[in-house]
Amino acid sequence: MSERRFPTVRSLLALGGALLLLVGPLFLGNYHHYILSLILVNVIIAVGLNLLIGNAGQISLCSSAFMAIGAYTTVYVTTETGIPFWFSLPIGGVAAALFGLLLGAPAVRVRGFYLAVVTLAFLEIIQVIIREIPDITGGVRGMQAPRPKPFGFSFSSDLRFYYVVLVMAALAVYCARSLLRSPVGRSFNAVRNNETVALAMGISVVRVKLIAFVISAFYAGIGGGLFATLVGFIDPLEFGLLTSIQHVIFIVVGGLGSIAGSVLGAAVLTALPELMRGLKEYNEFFFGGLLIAVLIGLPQGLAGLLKARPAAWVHGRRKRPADAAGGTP
Amino acid sequence: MVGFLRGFATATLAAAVVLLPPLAAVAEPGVADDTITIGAYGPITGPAAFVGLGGRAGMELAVEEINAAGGIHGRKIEVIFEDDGFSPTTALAAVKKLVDQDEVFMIFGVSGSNPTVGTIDFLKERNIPTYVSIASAPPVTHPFHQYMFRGGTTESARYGELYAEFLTQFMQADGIAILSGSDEFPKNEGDATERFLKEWYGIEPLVRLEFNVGDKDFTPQLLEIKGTNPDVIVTLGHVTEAQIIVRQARELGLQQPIFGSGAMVDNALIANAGYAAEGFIGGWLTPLFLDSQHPDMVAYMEAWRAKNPDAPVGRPNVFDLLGYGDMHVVAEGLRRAGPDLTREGFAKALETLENWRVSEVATPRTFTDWHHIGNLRMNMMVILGQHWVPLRWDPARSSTVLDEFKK
Amino acid sequence: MQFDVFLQLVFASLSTGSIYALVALGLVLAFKGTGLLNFAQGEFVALGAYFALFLSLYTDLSYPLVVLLTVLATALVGIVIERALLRPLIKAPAFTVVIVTLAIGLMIRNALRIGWQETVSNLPSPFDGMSWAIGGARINLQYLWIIGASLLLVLLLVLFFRLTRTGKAMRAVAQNQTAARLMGVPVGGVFSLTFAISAGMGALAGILVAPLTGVEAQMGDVLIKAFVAAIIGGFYSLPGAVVGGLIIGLAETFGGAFFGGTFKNVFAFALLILVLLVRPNGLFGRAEIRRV
Repeated sequence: MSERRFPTVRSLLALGGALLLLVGPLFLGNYHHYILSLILVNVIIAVGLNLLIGNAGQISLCSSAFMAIGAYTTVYVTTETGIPFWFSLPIGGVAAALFGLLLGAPAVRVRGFYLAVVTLAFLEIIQVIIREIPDITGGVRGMQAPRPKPFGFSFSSDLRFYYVVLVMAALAVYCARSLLRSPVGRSFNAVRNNETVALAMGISVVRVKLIAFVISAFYAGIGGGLFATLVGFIDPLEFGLLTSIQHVIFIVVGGLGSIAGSVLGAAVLTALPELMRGLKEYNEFFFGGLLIAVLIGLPQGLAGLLKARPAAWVHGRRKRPADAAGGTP
Repeated sequence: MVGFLRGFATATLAAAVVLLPPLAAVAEPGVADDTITIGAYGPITGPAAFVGLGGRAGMELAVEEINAAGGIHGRKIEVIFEDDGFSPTTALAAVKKLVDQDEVFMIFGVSGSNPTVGTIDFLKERNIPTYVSIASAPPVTHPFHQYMFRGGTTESARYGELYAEFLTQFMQADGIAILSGSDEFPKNEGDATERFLKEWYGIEPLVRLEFNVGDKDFTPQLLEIKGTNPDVIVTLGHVTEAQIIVRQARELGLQQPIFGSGAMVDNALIANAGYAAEGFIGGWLTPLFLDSQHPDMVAYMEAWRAKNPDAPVGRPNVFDLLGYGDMHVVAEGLRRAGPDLTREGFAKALETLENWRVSEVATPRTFTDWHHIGNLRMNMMVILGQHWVPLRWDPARSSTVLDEFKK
Repeated sequence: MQFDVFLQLVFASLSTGSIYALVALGLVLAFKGTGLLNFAQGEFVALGAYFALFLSLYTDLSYPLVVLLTVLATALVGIVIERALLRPLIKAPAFTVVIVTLAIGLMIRNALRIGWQETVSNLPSPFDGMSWAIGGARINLQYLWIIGASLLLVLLLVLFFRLTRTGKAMRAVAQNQTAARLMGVPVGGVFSLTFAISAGMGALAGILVAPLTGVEAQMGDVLIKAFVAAIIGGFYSLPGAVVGGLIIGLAETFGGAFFGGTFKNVFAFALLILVLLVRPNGLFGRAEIRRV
């Protein structure tokens, strides 16, 4: 591509970010490793959710339910069957994906508010199930989640586990990018823009939507398994409506339909409450205010900032901004 | 080019990660010539904020008193308080920040059970002295750990023992209906109560019903309870639901006495349920209620009001008192550890406390070198004439909670 | 089931349902009138309750005056929010607006929680302690007041929209903004008025329900149920919102009676799914006409 001579802000950021992510943590403390890992977990979930909402044009308020399924499955399999974490994590993802299929069956038939409410219903059902099978899930008391120890090499250090999460996040982003560039990804966009036209073009709209639900559930499940292992403890309260809404806020503030947006939104909004600790009991209040200010200023999200190309301006060349699916459902 | 750089960097770092040496230990963090820095965490935002705000205020009042009296061996106490929003994830972040960034000497916990449990593994691993004031979840004190202490609140199991004995021996109740919240603290209380009713007295509750936190209407559950015609209705949860339950129970014609959990003994219950709450009995974790005329309580209230002049009706609450009493316990431990303060010395010093308390506003605390459960007492309070009045009752049976440590 | 138990459940559910109906009405009204999905609607309920609490504690005003002032004050807050924060977002994507209203709600909730630190406060009502004996049951008069006041309000709204010029102007804007503007209707003013009415209704719901539930910062959580109620009703229909609210109230209460208190929500959702299976656009909704 002819971008080589005019690096975009986006690619500069990506390079700088990659170096920082790899080297930076070595100079930071345990607290930072933990927060960075939390950010990366949220990145994974946000990327998955954006595929569903921003690209495929659906609505989901139950991403936290898929997180929960992934988390409980991963931890249960690891602790009860002795299968190592490296396998139980994808198993957790697959379990979440299966439930995504289950949700997808009714969900593809409805849209708009009705879809939102179907996902709400799904979330409530999962929460009740978690509560009502305490022998497996620990119920409201939660569960301990151990860190992997392959061949005696312990990952209980947050720094080491950070690199695990980093690799998974990188994979997640890479796969999402490939997906969006593939025919399936393009059919996402088609379905979002106009279902009837997509149908007329020969796209099986139902199948595409199902794929979107399943993939987004898988991402959330992987995120959940990593999350549980990172924190070391699963509390079912952490997988409620509020968390699902937080995920939606990540991608709305970041930029719907944009992978970079998902990354940005998740990173900024996970780090912000930690940075705002100094405000003590006022931190939520100001967080709300900040959200409002950012969204009024940048209604399309932070990803809009990334399309700037300063180097091109300097050289007097103006290219049309890259196609970013920032549409609305 | 970029790809190569990235690959090289990754390989180098992979090697570095594997070979990374452990962080060097710092000599007694949190202890300076003139200050001792203590880290504290609890919920000060979100629906559970009344717990953390209370615990923090009580703790800060104690710190003020201690520093005004000259501090500990010439050092003033400084507290850094972090919000945890009642989430284990955030609590762990708060504790990591306090230990890692602020390098505090010890951790003082005024949060609920689940958030506290989320922090325990990390604190145990780092050998940080941890004093939990409010959470009753078992993992804090079971298994025994050199640096984990529980103060004013008592163990989950103990709640069950006390409630079971009180209901059957004092209230002479045979038919007991339990209505508990589905979140973990009331659920723990309910399970423990059921367990000891069965184990000690061979009684099973007539019915055990639950409600969700945030529910506003309890008509279905109360009507079902009415149908079983119990001697006593036990309701476990928070005061927000309690005041509705109590009022609705009376409206629906339920005349039986109502017994409630520790969190319900709160002036807000009287303010909201009014005369429907007369006769309500609940467990209170300190010997005196807030409007007692005992000189210790009067002094406490004066000091508290002076520091918090715009207090609403519901404050101070039990968490204020617990935070206050427990911070004084911590200070006593710091004192006994001597001027040459180390974490190990502090933990050992706490273990020398026997029935110690700052004044009558707190229960006496005892720690030993084989258990760190500071308090096993509760006092029953009843609403009479729209005031909380202490009931003179002491349990006759001894607790089984310490048995597992005696082996 | 005995008759008196049945009666208690009926009145409890109608009362709960009326509150959901009021909040759902506010939601649907704002949506129809301005196209905005206002997830801060729940916080108007809380605001109303807190305003009324403040007035009843620090002034000697009578109950009707307290209600009036509270509704007006909250309506004013609604107008301010609409003008200052939501007007700039007219062209923004729907998701953005929803998140902004959520953030507004978050700020209001936190302000209330920090500003008034009591865990739960009591809002007095002239019906405190009064009950009506019927068929072996004693029904709290507040339930009846809630049901009655809600019915009255819905009636007044219907008359307002049918008979008054302003009401007709609002309906015009809801149907077709451009046409209304061309007819000389001040669309901006109508937007503000819609929000004001919506906020006022939320406040009224707060005043009505607070004597039963207490005044606390979490009151806004009623929004979720109201949202579901509005959807059952079709989300484009005002009578639908009312019916939806009552249905949820009934489903919750009777579901809780038969299946256990912790399954209340699941029951309400199960009912929702059932309704959507039979009528995919809600009870009173129109089928969407999708332009290709």
